[in-house]
Amino acid sequence: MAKGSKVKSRKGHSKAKSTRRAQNAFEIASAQERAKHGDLDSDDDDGAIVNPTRGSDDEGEDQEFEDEELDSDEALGSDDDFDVLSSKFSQTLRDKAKSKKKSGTKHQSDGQEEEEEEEGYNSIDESELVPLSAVWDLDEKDRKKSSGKDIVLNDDWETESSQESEDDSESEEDDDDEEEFPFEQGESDEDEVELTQLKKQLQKGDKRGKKQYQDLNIEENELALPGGGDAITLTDMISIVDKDASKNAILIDKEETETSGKSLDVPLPKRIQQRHERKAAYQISKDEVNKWKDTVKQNRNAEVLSFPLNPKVQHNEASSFASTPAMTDMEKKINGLLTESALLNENQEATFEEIQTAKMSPEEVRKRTAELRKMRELMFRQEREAKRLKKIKSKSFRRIKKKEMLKNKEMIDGSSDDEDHDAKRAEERMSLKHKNNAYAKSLVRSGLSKDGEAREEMEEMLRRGERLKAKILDREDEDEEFGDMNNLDLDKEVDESSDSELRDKLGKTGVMNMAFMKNAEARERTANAEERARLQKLNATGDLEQFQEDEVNSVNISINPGRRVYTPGAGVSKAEISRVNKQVVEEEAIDSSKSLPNRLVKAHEGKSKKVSPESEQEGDDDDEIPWMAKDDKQVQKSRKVKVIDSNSSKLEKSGNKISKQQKKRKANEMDADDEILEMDGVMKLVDPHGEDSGKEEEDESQVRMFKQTDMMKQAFAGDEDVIAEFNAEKRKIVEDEGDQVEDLTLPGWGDWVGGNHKTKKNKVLKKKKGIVDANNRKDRFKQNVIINEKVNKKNAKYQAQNVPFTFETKDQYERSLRMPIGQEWTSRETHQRLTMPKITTKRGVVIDPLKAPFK
Amino acid sequence: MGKFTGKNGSVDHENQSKFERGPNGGKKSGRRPKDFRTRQRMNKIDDQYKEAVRSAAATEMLLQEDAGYLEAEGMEKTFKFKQDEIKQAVDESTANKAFQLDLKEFGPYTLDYSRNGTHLLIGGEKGHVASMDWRKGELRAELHLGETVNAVKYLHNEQFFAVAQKKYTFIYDHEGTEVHRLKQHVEIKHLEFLPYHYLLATSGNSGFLKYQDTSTGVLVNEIRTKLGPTQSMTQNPWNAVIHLGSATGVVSLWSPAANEPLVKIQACRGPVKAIGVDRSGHYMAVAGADKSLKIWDVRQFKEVYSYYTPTPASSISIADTGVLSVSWGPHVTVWKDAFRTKQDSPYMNHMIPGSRINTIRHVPFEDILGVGHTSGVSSLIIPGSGEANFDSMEVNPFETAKQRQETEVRSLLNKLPADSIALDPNFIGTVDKRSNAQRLKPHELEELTKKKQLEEESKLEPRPTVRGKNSALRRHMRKRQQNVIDERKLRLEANLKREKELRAQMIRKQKGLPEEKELLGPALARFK
Repeated sequence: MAKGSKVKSRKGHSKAKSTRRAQNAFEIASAQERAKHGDLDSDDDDGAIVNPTRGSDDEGEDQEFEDEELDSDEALGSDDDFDVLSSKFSQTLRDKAKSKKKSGTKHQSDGQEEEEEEEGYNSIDESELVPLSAVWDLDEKDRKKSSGKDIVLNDDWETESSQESEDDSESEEDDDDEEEFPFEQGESDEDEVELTQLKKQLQKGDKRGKKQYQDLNIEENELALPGGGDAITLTDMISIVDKDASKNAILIDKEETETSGKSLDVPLPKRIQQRHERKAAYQISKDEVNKWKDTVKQNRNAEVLSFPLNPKVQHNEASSFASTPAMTDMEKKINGLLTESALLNENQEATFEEIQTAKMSPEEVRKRTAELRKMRELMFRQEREAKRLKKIKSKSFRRIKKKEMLKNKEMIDGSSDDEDHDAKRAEERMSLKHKNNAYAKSLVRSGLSKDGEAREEMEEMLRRGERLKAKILDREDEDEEFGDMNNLDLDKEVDESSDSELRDKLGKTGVMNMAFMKNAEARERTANAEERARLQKLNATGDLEQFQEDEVNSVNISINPGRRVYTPGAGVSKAEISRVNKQVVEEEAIDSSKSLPNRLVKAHEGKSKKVSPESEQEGDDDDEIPWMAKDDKQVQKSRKVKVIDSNSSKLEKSGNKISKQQKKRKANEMDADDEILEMDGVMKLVDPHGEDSGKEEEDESQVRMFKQTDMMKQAFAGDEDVIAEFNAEKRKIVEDEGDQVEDLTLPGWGDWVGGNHKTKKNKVLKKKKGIVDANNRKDRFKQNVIINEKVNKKNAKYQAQNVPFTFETKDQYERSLRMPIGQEWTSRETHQRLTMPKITTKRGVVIDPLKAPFK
Repeated sequence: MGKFTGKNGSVDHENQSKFERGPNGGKKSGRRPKDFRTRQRMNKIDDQYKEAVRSAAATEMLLQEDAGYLEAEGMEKTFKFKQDEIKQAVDESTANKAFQLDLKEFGPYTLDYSRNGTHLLIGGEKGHVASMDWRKGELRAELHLGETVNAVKYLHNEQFFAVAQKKYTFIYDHEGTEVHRLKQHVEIKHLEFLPYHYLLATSGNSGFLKYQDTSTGVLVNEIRTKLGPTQSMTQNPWNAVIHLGSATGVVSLWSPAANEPLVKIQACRGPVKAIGVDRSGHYMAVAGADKSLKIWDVRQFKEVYSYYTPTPASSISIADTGVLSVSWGPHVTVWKDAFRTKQDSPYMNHMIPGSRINTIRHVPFEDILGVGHTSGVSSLIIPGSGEANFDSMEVNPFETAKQRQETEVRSLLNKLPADSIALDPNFIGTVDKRSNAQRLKPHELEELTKKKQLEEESKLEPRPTVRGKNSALRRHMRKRQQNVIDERKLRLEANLKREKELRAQMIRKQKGLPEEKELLGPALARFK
């Protein structure tokens, strides 16, 4: 093929010839210009510069070649652009297109010729390479042909390239061709000849040639329609705007004309087209951007954004001992050592065992497992057995055990020495758990004793206290006796009977059988029996009347019932006895007061006495409501009334008197304290002490109190005007700060002097707005209060002048301020959240742009 | 159980209402915002607020300490318990806190405790002043001033204290060194210190209320009360408003930002002997010479309850827990819950026989009441009077020296301006309702600015010094009859003429005009 050689030749002198080409280019261009205009003659005249033949015919030939080629291409595969490009002539085509583009886009100026030449040079067409001799021949041939054809061809090209008549691109092509010829001379062969012939044939076959022939008649000017009278196609229009498009448009145009042959609709105005395009483009970009919409929204609404947005989740290892790769040298070293000594391998043990079993034969293994199972079974059974035995033991065995334990304990208790006792007592004292203290009393009084727990506690305390006291008083035995009081039953009597039997056995003689001894014994026995009966009675009823009656007289009647003995020591002893008795009574009272049932009984008694005496017996303790219980004091009081009557002894009476006096004194003291309570004589509601002191005798303090208030009123009687003054001041302020009405009428104007003074009708009044209207004052309904309504100007600077933007109302704005963010007023959590920066970044971490979500 | 409503699964607490803020208890009110964004923003704000309230309510469980009270059982009455009984019953450390100082020579004593309750400042009327760490029993400073002492007051911490003496008020440091003599505070009877504003408020016989900034030393404001000598004085700890009691029974409320009383209350008929305001700033107790003791609601300015004292009260102190103590004669009466309900009987009583009580003060964070009386100072145990939970960010009863210093700096940084004191401290940041009415219209503003500009211009322009019309010379020229020509007049006229010429020449010279040449010589010139 010629192509290969052509390329070689090109390399040799493309640059060397460039300048010359440039010169020629201009000449050719001008020549062509003339040719186009159809005045060939003038062209020939100018042949001094250029070869005339070439200027006209040869050039035309070249053009023809080129066009032919194009046409053929189209003919071959106009449907498929790609095919054409990849075909044999693709290079040529592409080159040409390139050059055309270049020349098209570039302005037609000679200054750029050099470059264009280069392009032109590169885009030499193989088909154009014709031997010189052939060219001459062609020239001759062409001349023989009508000159019109030349023009036709020329014009044909022109129409195709649509008004590129003055373009130099063609001239360049020509120029190149011309230059190429000298070098191509030697390379001429039949191929080229064949090609030319083929082209000619094609040319003949082309019907466009005829069509274009008609075009020729159209006058060539700017206003001439490119279609030459045909319907204007879109391509034609576009070609004006864009020459690139024109190139393509040729193809389309042809296609259309070939296929449909229909005329196109008038295109939309450019403006509207562009609008459509913009719309489409916008829609596309919008769709694209919308993919991020949700993400952006979320991020905008987020209180805090911390970048990177989606950090890799670092899962915590299940164990803190999980293996982590050794980081430091030390770790590595240790690791190495461990592996070396085979300590690190965790599987080793397991494998070892596995190996052991693996070594054994299956039978052996089976045997071993069976053995193990058996052992396990045995162990389990043993355990079950032990459990069962334990259970069996638990009833009687436990009881015995318990008894034993108690015995041991008692023994230990019995052996406890004084020191131990002292220590215990001290401990007890420390814990305030002895009975006669304020705490216990307070418990009773507060009614806490009604509470089960508290009562238990108290009882326990009392028990302890008694025991300890007994220790002190060395009354252990008695205590025991008393403790067994409940068991004062037949046992003792049996004892007595056995005693008598024993006595009978002693015989009739002996001191014991003497009359006085017998008498004494009998007396003693009766006394004992009496005592026992009394105790039993006491035990049964809990009545203390015996004790109380006992203390009645200081007469010794213990020995001889029929005789009264007045001994000087008797009084003292009696006093002692009475004291003891009193104590007992008191203690009993306290005891009884502490136990809920007793209290309730008493309360009920107290109540029922008033209401109905028969309900006394019916009163069920459990049904009693705790808050119905009355105070101890009341109970005591009632007892006191019962105890002291006209029959009571003088001593007792006097004692009673003294105690009464003491009480009174106490009450007075109380009253002295109560003074403060009764400060408010008017609004006083209930005084718990009014009962005992107020009713029995005149409450002096109360009287004094009223006197004081009266006095005070008297003392400050003159100060009534203080309040009057204040009210006057308030009135004045209200007036001053309220709206003012000014009378602007001229005084005396239009008035008659003298009698019959009439009020003027047309007064000129001016209203002056005050600070605040009297009806809107804050202190309007408040007595003894004046609130300043004047504006504090100094405070105004801490207020906002108006509601800041985005807030619509004052309320909204103030709502936004109500929660302070300082850590003095909020919790740490709130403070931190409210002061957190909106965006936090991790230092040194690259923040990636938002990733498109899956859409 | 509460319901789950919070975003983070937080729970509504029962005590939440206690932590609500703002008007109408944090409830939403008003219409929904129209704008979408505003609505969103408001929703966010509301959410944040709710969450904040919730978390604040949740923190309350951290306040583990609880104030105990004296409880009577049965027929016992709490006011019957004597101090020595209580002393026996309580633990050793508390018992030690009830002490007595027998100072019979310099009484009656007034006293004050530092804000964190660690230090006690006593001032004997006859000139004995002592500052001490009363818990440790360490004396910090002791002064014998040899001058009447009317009042003593610790400033922001125990490092400084003010003493109102016979004439002036002095400030001493912790060692008793005189630091300042406040010359402007004359004959002061009462001292108050506003810790958040660093203001020392004084009043006395002069009837002036003066505010002295103790951090800058500036006298912020001196207000003429026009109510005569001040009988009593206290501050509202909630809004830093000063309450003054006058001889006419008027209690007036003052702020350094206003020269008139914010409120005037006719509380009693006689002179106001003592005033006390509780920590929350809701209630005020006023004791008058008419033996009345009245409880006022300071939010609504309404009298709530009224009591009587057997003799006029001398001092009132209200503890942090709302325990109200009143002293009258040798007695101290302590009332519990006196503000909430009408009390029938006092909580506690105490009498110091043969001694008139001058001042009583509850100790912050302690169940102690300090009593200053004629024969010294004694402290009484009042169970349940001290705040059990302290906020160490605010005042720390166990603070170290370092902490004290840091607190001092912090509080100075957070110092509030004096003119931000108002009846309702929440006014700050709110929208001024009246501002619209007050604002100038554009044309008014323009006029105003023009006027101002003119004034300024006229001020800047230098005026020629014009000789007065009534100079001796002119008078002479004017007075004499025109037709009488004497020698002096001639001479004067000539002089004046010459002067005029010279002036004209000077003007010419200034203007750059060529000098007029004298065509004639000096000898002939006069004939010109």
